[in-house]
Amino acid sequence: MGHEDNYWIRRMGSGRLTRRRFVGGAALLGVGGAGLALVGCGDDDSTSKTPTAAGGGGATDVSSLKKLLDLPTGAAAGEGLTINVGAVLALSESGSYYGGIMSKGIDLAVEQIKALGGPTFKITYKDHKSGNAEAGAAAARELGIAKTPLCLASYGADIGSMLAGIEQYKMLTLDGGGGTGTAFQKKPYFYGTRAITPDDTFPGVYQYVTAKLPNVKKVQLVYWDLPEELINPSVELLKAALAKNKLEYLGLEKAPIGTNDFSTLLARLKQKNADMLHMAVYGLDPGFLMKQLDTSGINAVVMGSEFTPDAAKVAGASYNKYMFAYDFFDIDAPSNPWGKLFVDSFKKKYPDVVPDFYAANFYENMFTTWEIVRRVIAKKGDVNSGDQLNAALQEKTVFPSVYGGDSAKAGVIAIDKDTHTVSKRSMGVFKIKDGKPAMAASFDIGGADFKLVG
Amino acid sequence: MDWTLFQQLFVNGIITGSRYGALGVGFGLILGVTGRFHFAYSISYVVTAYAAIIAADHGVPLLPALVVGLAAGAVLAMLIEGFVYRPLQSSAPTMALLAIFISSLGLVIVGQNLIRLEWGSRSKLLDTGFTVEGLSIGESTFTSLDVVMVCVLWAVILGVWALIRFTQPGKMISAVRVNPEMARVVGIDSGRVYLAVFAIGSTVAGVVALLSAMKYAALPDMGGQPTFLAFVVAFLAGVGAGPLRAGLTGLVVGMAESLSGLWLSSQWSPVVVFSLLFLYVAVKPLSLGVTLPTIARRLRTAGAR
Amino acid sequence: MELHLSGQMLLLGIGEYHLDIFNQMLIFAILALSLNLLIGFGGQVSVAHSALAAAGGYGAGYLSAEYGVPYIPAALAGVGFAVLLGTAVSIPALRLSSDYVILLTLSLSTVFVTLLVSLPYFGGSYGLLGIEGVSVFGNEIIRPSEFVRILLPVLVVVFLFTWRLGQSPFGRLIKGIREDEIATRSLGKNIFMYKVALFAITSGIAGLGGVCLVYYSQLASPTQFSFDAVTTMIAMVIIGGMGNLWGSLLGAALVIVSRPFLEKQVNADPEQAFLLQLVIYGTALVAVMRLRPAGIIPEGASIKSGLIRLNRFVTRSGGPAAQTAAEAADAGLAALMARHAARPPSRPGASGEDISQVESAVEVTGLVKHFGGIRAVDGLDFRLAAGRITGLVGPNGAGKTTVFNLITGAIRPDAGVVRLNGVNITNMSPHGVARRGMVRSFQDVRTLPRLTVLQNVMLAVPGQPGENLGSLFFRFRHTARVEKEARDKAMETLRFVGMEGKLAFPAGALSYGEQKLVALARMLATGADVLLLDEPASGIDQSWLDPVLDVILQLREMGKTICIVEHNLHVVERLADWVYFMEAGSVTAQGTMKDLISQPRLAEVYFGNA
Repeated sequence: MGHEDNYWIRRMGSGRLTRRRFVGGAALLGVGGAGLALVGCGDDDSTSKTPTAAGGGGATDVSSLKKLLDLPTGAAAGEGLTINVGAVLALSESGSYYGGIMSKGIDLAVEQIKALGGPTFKITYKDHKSGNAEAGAAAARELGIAKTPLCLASYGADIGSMLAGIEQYKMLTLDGGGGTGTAFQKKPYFYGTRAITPDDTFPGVYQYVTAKLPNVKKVQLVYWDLPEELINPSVELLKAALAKNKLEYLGLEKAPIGTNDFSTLLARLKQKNADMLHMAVYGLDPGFLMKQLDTSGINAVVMGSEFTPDAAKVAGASYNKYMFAYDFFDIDAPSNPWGKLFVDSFKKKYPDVVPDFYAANFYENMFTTWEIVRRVIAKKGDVNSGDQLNAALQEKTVFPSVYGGDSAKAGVIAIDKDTHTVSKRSMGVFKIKDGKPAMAASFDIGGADFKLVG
Repeated sequence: MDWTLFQQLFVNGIITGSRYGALGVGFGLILGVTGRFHFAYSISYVVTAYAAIIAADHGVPLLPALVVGLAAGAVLAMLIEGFVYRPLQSSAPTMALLAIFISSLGLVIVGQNLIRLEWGSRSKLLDTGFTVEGLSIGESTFTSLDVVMVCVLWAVILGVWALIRFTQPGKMISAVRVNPEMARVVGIDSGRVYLAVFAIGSTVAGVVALLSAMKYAALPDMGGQPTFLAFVVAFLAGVGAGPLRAGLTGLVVGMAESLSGLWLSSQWSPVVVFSLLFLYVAVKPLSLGVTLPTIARRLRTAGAR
Repeated sequence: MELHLSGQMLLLGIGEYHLDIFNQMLIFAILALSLNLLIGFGGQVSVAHSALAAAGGYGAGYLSAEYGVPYIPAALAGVGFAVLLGTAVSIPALRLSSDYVILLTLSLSTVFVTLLVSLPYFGGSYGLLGIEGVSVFGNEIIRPSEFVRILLPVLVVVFLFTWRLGQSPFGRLIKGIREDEIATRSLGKNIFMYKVALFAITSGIAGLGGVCLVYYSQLASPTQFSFDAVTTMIAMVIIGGMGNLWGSLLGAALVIVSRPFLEKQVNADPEQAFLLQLVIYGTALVAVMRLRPAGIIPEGASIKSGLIRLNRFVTRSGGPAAQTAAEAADAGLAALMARHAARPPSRPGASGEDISQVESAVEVTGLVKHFGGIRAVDGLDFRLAAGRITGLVGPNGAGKTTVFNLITGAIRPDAGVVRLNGVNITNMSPHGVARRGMVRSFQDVRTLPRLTVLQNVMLAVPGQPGENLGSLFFRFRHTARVEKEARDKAMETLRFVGMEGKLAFPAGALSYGEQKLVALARMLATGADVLLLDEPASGIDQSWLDPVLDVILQLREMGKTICIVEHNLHVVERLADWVYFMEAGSVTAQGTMKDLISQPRLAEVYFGNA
């Protein structure tokens, strides 16, 4: 009755199982089974990779760091030890550029530390997929299960998702990407090495505005659409800084996160007639925003909280009107010899890659990690104990930095023992000249050491 | 009501609405004729933009570079139809809908990450070839690029409409859309028609992508949101609806999204759009005629003959 | 106890790392099983599953983080929210074709998740972070090896629950809805209620999965429940095998293990490693779909069937086993043919009986239906005499099938009254009409292709407690007993139509004629007294025609009231006691076939002008 072409006959009726189909099915099952077995095989601890020297370029002579950073040698430096460090970064999805550049900073530091007679830091990279909470929680858990005592995190412990694992497994974690922010202060074993933006910048910015932008009287805040508890502290701090400088606070407008179309936001902003827009938006958003703002008819000074070359590229010429303030690492004019060495060695190791402040942060955090390890060694402690490492950090929360300093000395970063965020961190107000950032003022936390530049 | 804000949002609505309309036309054509849930639409979108930019970077003048991009997107879509969807359709007609859906997803993951691997996640810019100026009507501002965009998009929408209505290939496409069995009986090769439809649909997407790359930037994940919207607009317009209807539906959606900014801050716009969609879908069956079951059955078998 | 267990596991080489992955498999298996019930068994392509998991996870998480509610009541509350949300989703979905269900669920889940992000109570894009830990008898559960002791039993329970549902008459009904809603409805099943029940149940389980996920990761975040999450779940179901619960376990396991597997295998620098892993994963998705679109363990496959196929393959069959099966299949039909040959020919219409003396089983008066400007049925009166065969003939487009639709409640009449055994059933739902004792067949047969012949017929047997959740889970013996009775009844009707040899064949594998017989058996199994047959003879091979007609005559002898719509006038002549002639929406003539044939005007109308 001619039903050979009937799908059901072919599948179930006559039961003719062709060899190809069987082999195909068996192969699939085989691969699956082997896969499961392979994950099983291999010890739990060897989930890490030794960073491959991806940079085609050569290594720089780093011996000058010995004196600059006052480094010991031999056993005190941790020579011969192998220490596991986790690195949870954005290695896929929209932020994968950041994970990439951060990993380069880490790898550069690991190489230099070894050359300086330090331990071999074995980095286990984990991908939090540009802010996926589930991935972050899993990463912290996996690192913890593998007994990794140290970790470098980003995106604010991946928007907090790593914190439970960090505490449970006592994994000492430094975040040089998002820092602690307002939300994740005082968390056990977790420390931020970034200035909180825009909060920490307000005192310095408004001193600058009073000095150099006398026409600015009314300020509008434009903030990423985050939970109220996070925005409110910033609003209060801004109000305080504005009041102190006798300026008017117009209000808050929320910007959608990670979009490229700001037409509605700009339409609403136009109504406000602000003299200055203080923006707390990140990633590519400032670039798109500036580009559209340029043709929107809004005449206001724009003060941002981040600068990335990518956002600048997107914005094109409109970025020449952009100003920003935060702990920005100026690769064209590093402020101290260590910073200069970082820029030079990075360019040498990665010839076609431009270093940026994220690379600098993770580079210096690796050195900070080393110093903490050295302190534990000095006490003849266990470098794999999260508690001991934590105690070593708390002992003296001041570390050398590629930021700040002067032509002879490395700069300094200090962390507050209670809040776990920075208490000393060089920041600046920057303008754009010929497409490149140029420092207009420098200041520290709380507006300390305010200095006009240029 | 704040008239100034309204004017600006209205203008914004026209601009985004035209984009949504064009996206809906392209996706809707594919969905209506072939019944395939072609989520890999986003791949054609992003490949068009990247191909054009890379051509331009290699010294190809602007217009030919754009053509290169459009061609790349169209060819890719045809390859997907020919080598992924069609074999699935013939080997498993009853599972086709979901199997194609999952394959689409797989393709999107592969495509997006290959692009990231090759060209990184940083943005790429497409030069417009002319200086973009700010313009204004009354209190509302927009750019000369926006004007070009809206004109081009509607030209494309009307072009597709004219193609379907007046040309021979267009009539064949219509025939296959309305009654595939009958079309086959009169000798229309629906295989070729499907390929043509995929090419046309992704060319439309490609135009939107190029304009988007000019206005904003090209990013590896730029195709996701537009595909989502294309899907929504195509369904709202009605599966099997003509290009004009899809275009107008997109305009309405864009306008609704924009005007919601009068009362709500922008984070709520997706809620508005999807609430509208939800209400529409919930209310729709109450006024249904006879056509839906037919379309539905065809969709379930993914347009099988 | 704790140390002992861990020690044992270490001996097997299984450490916390593996248990962590295993736990993730368990959680996603819960989600995949419930999604499979909804999509694979029920054919409701919903993409709201991650939103429903979110309802559960966020519900429990919110209560825990905000009010410190302990985890068991929080979990129950979460499941409750998910059930509510799922039920709410299902109501508008009832009247939609399963394809628009995608759109509906998509819009609803997007709105829901956007609300979770936008409303201030739920932590916005950061989500809820202060989830209370889980503790059992005072011991805090923190390590994967501890979690597995909770998650594994939960999965086992969920699996047993979904298994029972899937294998039961309830599951069969759900599959019937998937295969052909209208046909299932016409057998007396309230498909709307079952759809809602299916959504509610699967939503609750999804909510449970969400709760587990949130407690395991100690956070509730929008990224856990995004569109990506639901597409991953769908991938698990499809790759594993739609309609097969073992497949869902396998699918969840494969997808979850793929990430750590690729992480270990792909050796590249971090910048490329993860992107490369994703490329491989995406390629694998496309490849699996290409090679096994029905999934690795397709519906109907089980260990037993797998072994049979393996055996056949190894013995290089077709072989004697297959042949015997084929012979047995046809034996039933042969018996049917033999029965027919043995019977004396009969011809009802020629008996000379006065039909007006027979009471009416069905009475239709003044039936009207307009579609837009078209008057499909325009003031129709007719009746079906009890225990007789009534014919309804007329040219194409006269409105005959519409009449069937109208009197069985598939379409609402604009005016008119329909009475069944004296009861006014005019605006009753199709399933209500079927339960009252009037069922119809379809021109396009509409058997349920992926169900076996036996299942097709068993579905039709009314009064099955197995379709009721309460009986299904609390009255095992009663349900099993009635199921056996239903099976016997189904076998009886199959024997009656000669199809008992093919009881294990999927209905879609049968020829058109065989399917028609199965459809007849199905109608019989409902126990209805009034049978409306829409074109019973069309598309049937000549050699089959007589046995089929014979069956219909036997039904009449059994006392069934039958109405047939037919084009083949010889068939009508053979079968019908009384015939109505329909033209343009109303009856213009009635009588015995002989009477009507002798009216030349009717012939002209019927065949068109010469």
